[in-house]
Amino acid sequence: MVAVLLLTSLALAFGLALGFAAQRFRIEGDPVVDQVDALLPQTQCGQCSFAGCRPYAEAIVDNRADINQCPPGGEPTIRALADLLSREAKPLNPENGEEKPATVAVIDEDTCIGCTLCIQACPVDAIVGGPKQMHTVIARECTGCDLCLEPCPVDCIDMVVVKTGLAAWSWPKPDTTATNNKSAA
Amino acid sequence: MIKESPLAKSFHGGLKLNGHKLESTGGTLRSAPVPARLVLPLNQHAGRAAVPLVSAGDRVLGYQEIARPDGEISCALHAPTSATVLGVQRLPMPHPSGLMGDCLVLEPDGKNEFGNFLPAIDPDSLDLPTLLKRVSDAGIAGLGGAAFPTATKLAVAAATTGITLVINGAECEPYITCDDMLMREQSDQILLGAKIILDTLGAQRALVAIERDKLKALESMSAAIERLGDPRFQLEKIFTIYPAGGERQLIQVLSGKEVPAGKLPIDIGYLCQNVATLVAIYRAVKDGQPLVSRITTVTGSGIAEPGNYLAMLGTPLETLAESAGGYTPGATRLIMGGPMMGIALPSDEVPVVKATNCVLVLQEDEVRASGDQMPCIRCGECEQICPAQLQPQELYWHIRGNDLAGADELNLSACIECGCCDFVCPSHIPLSQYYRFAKSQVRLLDARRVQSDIARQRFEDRKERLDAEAARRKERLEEKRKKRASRENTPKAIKGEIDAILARTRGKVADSDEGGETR
Repeated sequence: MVAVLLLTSLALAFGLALGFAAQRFRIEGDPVVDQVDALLPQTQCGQCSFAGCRPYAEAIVDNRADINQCPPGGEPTIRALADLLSREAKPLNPENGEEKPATVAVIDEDTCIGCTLCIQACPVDAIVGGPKQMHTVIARECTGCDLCLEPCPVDCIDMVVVKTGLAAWSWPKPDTTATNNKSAA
Repeated sequence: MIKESPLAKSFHGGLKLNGHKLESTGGTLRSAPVPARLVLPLNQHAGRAAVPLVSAGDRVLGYQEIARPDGEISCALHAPTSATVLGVQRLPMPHPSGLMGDCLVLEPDGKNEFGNFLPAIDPDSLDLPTLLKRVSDAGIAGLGGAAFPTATKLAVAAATTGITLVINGAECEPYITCDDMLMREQSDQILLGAKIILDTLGAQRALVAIERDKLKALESMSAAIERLGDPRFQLEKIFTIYPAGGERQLIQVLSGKEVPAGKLPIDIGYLCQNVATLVAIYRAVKDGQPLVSRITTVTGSGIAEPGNYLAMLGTPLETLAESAGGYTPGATRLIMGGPMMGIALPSDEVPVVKATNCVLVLQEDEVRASGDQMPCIRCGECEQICPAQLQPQELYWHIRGNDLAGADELNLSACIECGCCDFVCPSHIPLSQYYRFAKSQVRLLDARRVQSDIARQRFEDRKERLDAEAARRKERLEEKRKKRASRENTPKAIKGEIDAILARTRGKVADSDEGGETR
């Protein structure tokens, strides 16, 4: 009898403590989704088949999507996601697209008719302009997502590969083939 | 006054190397000729590229500012002599990438006319803001090889009180002797430059660190300290171990204290300045002379008459090599900097920049072929000599497998790229190239992360805006619906409303008619 009472009261006490903690230390949103979202490149291009990076992050956490569906992020992103979620890294899913060099949208200002359709399509508000006024892209803010290409009625937008200067230069990785061959032998 | 550093070896690892210093210290300091064209890369310092102030066709006087710094971490550029500006051109830069960069090209007119752009200041009546402004206006960057803007370094140091100034005369890398030469010939100016920093920054003392095998430099500096008679100066003889001239290693030798990884020397109260930088500061203050030239060692078995040359910034390495007697028949490898940390250059058309402490030309048999690397046998030699106390072999495995996060956990960023591990590796693995590769990858990923954070913010702001717009529209609709619902539905009320509308529109029609008449 004592044992039953003791256990019941313990269960009650812990239940109350846990209930209190759940209310008091509640965390808004899902922290794992935030962590996944932080690793995604934020191009908001939708190539992963979700409407932006955050929805894709949510899908990954809910197991509705795999970690290899982000072409702009490419291999480094897949590796980082695999690390975070303790999953196996895998090659990029070709159905979602392929890894490409970073691009930026450029509007041919002579052809632009000022229809504002691209402005509405841009996920990061990187296009400025008004109705029947020329539009232009803020190159610094453009993520190269391609979303403005499709709505343009006069096809005046081009995706141009970003010029890589010294800032984007990296020391090359030393050739590892020499050691590979010998260690295999 | 002269004291031997108390410990035989006061930092971990390091190497005793064949100095090859005698080749280039035989003669005196010579001046390199003014070349036909001066090529001044806009980005020859750490940080952002300078912004040109002149355009093609302009005539500039010597010492005239031709490019201004862009932001906090950047450096001004000045015309080394009177010249005509040929414009900004994309030319090869002295950079391991071999990429082209924007360079201001000047054609010296041979008149050697100099303007008086910066007024001379009396060093004794100098305050800190004036010094920082002058150092920045004179375009001074660290001349030891890193070319970090000196004004920024001093500004950071000024926030700390009671610092110790370390005058870095430990030129530890083989072949390089430009600082040795400077200490022999301009010892007084070095000390006066240091005194300016001591006085304005309120530093307690200055340690002049020189390796004990640099006998002539020791003698000259010791005499200069005697002449100056300032009790704050102290000469420190240190042992010749590579890389004792590295900022962190030198401070460890002098103080026994280690600069923690991820922190700066100033965080433990030390400010390190290269001897040539101090002379540049002195000249900028005393004579109002900006940084337009530097001493460069031209040496190696590939050079006929090795020596030290005072060269204008922008002088092509070709011109320097010519004035040093030209190349020897077997010369194959051109290196900017020393054999341990220097970078291989594809061509001698590139110019002398602020960081060019040495031009090293070697013969084929002195360069290790790159193809002869073997598997790592985990001997641990690299760990034994690493002056940063890292685990080079562990770093290597992580980086080879593209695991940058793993390398970061092993303090990759603390690697000073001294090349000691490469030197001792029995398997000839180019270890420091792996670390350089990984560091630049980390830098690129960080830059990408910053960019993506901005994109995320913009995406979220846009979403918020669209949501707010949608909410407002819904609200308006709701209001209208409510208004309609609250309306009386009796025929009389409806008629009254229709009359009101008619009266309103009639009035408008009448108005527009009147308007029509006046038109």
